[in-house]
Amino acid sequence: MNQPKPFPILRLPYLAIEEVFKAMHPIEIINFSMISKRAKSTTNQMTFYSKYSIEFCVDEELRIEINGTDELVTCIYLMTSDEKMDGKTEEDGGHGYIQRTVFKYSKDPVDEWKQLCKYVLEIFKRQTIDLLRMTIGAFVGQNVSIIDFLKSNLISVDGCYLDRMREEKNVDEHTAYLLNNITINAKLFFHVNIKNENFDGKIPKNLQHLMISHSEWIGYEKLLEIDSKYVILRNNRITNGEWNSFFKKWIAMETHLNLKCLKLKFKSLEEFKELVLYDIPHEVVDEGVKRVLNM
Amino acid sequence: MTSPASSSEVKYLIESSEGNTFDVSGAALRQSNTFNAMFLNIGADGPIPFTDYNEATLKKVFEYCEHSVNEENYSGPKHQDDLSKWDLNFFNEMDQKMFIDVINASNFLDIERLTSYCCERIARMLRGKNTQEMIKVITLPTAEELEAKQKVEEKKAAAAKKVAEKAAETAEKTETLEELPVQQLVQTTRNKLTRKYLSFSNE
Repeated sequence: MNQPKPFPILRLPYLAIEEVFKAMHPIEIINFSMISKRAKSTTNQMTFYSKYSIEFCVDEELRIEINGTDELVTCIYLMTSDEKMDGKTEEDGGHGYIQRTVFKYSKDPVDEWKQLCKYVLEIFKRQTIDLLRMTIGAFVGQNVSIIDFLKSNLISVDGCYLDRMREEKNVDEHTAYLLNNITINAKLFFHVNIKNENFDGKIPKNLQHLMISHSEWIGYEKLLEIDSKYVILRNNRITNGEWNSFFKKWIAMETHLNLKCLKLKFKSLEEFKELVLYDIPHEVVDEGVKRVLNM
Repeated sequence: MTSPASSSEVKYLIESSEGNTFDVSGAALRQSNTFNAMFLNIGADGPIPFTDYNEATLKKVFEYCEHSVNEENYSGPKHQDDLSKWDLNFFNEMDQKMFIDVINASNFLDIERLTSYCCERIARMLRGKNTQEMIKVITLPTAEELEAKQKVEEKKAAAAKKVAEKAAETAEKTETLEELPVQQLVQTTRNKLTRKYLSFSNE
């Protein structure tokens, strides 16, 4: 169809407009909404946005990632300090999959990122995002304002991935501030190296998946607070006697009613059996046998 | 007697906004969910009035339906790059006005495959464009145009009501027909079949 004339898209019936929007990439929908107030109000009427997956990322780079309904399109807004890159688009992918990155320049990238996050949430009518990825040491000076921004614009996040920078900065306070202010619904991957043994961050409950890779700050009391389905702990401060007590309580269903699988680090299995499980009936299963855990 | 739901040989008469009528096969018509909901099980006693759309538009829509009769069942939008040469020609030979009319008619008739391909084509016009570039390829309606659009929507709603009434009326007639003596029933049915535009099951 050759059509030099501009296409009167809003003259189409509503269902047809929605079909057009479904076939558009998320960033194109955002761009469309910016044409005019009428375009924005039309954009806001669509009902399928809940199928998009939205991720906010505060890393060394600030990003917003939106995955389309068919999982074949990923759109990324990437804040850049290079003014020349402003508005430029990069495309990557193959085999039917497209990843499109749009660069956004601003003298205040954190503020620009916040404004864009807000707009994305408004257009896609979301109060919960699928993933918050945050490197706590990346924007130390602005952590609190970023967390406050997220708290005031989001009810919750489904998944949260917390990391640290390579250089050791003490970010305990900011990490605790995030855990105490952001509601996490399903998954927490915690890779922050906490320095303070008395770290007072609130561990979310009823998660599907909780992984704490630097868990030296986890003592017996904190262990009792953890009540998620699938838990991975590495190093910890829990004594053998406390582990023994924990397992007994878990078996007796006195605590950790949601816990189905616990992975923990111990020097050796023999030592674990001897020092922790000595009076607990148990079975050692063959690691070569694949078992399916119904979560 | 042949049931319209089971035979692709059955032809239906379609009436356009000009009052003209033309034949469409049952197999092609069954791609329209609107038709299926209203006429498939009860048949139609007379031309089916899709009088909100002109003959050229309806013929174009049913040309597509006739062509895709033997294609596999529709299972979601196909990538435009996967469209056949025939499909591409079908779309390329339409001007903008016809394209919009076809989308409107396809939307009303609820022909998923055609509506989806048309909409995917529009989405491709906007593919990879920023806001400024989009402004060049689309136009947004003025307040007057929106008012006119609302009137058209109202008119369409009235047309849909008319079609529904026609379906209800036909259903009523079908019931009456079942009460006729067998000989009269056969004659009535024969008359209808020779007129080509209706067949229905009384069994």
